[in-house]
Amino acid sequence: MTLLRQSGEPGTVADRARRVPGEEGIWVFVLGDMTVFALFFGTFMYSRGKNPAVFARDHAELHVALGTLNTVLLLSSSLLVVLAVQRVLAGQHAGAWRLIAAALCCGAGFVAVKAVEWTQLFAARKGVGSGEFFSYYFMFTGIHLLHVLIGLAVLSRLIVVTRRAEFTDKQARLCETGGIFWHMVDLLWVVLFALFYLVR
Amino acid sequence: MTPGIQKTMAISGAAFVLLLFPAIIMIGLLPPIAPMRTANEIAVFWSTNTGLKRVGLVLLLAASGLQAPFGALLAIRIRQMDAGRHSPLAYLQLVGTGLAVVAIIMPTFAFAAASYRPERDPQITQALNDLGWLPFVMNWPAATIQCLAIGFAIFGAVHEIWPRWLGYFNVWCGFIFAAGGLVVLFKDGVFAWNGLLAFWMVAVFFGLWFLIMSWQLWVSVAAPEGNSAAPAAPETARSQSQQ
Amino acid sequence: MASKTATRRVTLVWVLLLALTFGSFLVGIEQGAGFASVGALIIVGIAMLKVRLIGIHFMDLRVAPVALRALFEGYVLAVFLILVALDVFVKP
Repeated sequence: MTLLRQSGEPGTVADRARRVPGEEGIWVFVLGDMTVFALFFGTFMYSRGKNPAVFARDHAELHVALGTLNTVLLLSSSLLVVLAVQRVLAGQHAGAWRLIAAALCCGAGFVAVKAVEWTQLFAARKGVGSGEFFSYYFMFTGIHLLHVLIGLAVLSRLIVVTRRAEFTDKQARLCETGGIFWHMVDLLWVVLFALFYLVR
Repeated sequence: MTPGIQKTMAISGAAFVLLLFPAIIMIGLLPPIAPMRTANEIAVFWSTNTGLKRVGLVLLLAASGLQAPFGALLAIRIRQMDAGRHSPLAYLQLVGTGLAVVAIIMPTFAFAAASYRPERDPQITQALNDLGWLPFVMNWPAATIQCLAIGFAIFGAVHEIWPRWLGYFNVWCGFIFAAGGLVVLFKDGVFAWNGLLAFWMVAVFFGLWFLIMSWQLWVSVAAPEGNSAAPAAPETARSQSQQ
Repeated sequence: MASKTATRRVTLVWVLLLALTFGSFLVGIEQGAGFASVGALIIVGIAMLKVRLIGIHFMDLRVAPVALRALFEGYVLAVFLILVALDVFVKP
């Protein structure tokens, strides 16, 4: 941790200076979750192969523009979190909370857009029982949405932590760990977006 | 509480899983019968190998109780990680343990009823089959409550007994187990009670969780009371500031 | 200090991610019946590339021990190959 405070840009670490980002245990969670989502992605692609016409037809009902907007929101929120964590790790955590708050707003925006999308779909009588494509869509994006909500809670906690004047190494690591969770949420959406909104 | 008793309680979790497996094979629950099967097909299922199925059910019922000592020791570990006089997470763990035993015996009773007079009206047998399968797969609160109690106990531990990765593993498992809660919405596909995600994925991690927690309980068995892990000095502990 | 190089690097990555998002968005809406399969391959490929960028630069796996980095890269590659294989080989 203090190594980073000396160098600032950890881009030139020698092999002996390599470190696990965040708290080590978070990677158990992250890699596990990524694997489960990989299962989701695989089952989706398999079903799509079996029912190409139905999937193509139902896929057309999604609003690609809204999906793209959501992707932009999450990518931007991730950037803001990275910038905040960089400051925290460099010992300059004052003001970092504003970046995290902005990221939180982007995340809230994601939830709002999702609400709009889902309302439109429900109004068109599409639900979790409306055939394979939509059952996958609502299940997987729903589970992802749950991750987003948890992520928003995590970000809120990070705001509280980073607003403190005194700051320990342990808290800095907590920020990095929370950031990693948020990036995972972003990363999973990137694939969901591609599979549901882009692939025909 | 001697180390011997602790170790016995520790492996009761592994023993539960190792008995569960042959039991559900005997009952014919592996692979799960598809929700889309007609009442007649289900009646035929319950009418075949009835002797073996019934013995499996007896075994399943007996095995279910093994979760109790296992869960109780988990609660003790939580108590040991907490410093204060009151340990709400430990109580939460006990609630989860009780629910976990019920989570097995309730469907067992339904399957027992289905197996008891398989010559009855197939509609009734199908209803009993549903009454068995739905709670068997859907009963995630029992598991998730335990996982979250353990996970958060580890994250907030004053006395560090277990590694933090175990906390992350538990929280993640708790999430995974919740996938079973959706089966009432689906009669086929990956989220049905025989589905890849709601059943198979959950089943794999369900078994894995018991084995890993049994192992961790075993290796964390302390010497007889007097060890630093014991809550012997609540006053000192209370003065430590919590994050 | 939080160095300017670090800030610039992650901002550039973000710009690249956005560019890839819009790029694949265009591929997505251009998919005609004949190009459906190639389109899927490109879209999935771009998505996994984005995943990799997020992992390496945002999650800071650049500085991670080789084992962890290898796990992540392996995941990205495996998911790409599996999804492409499913797209190509699974038929009704």
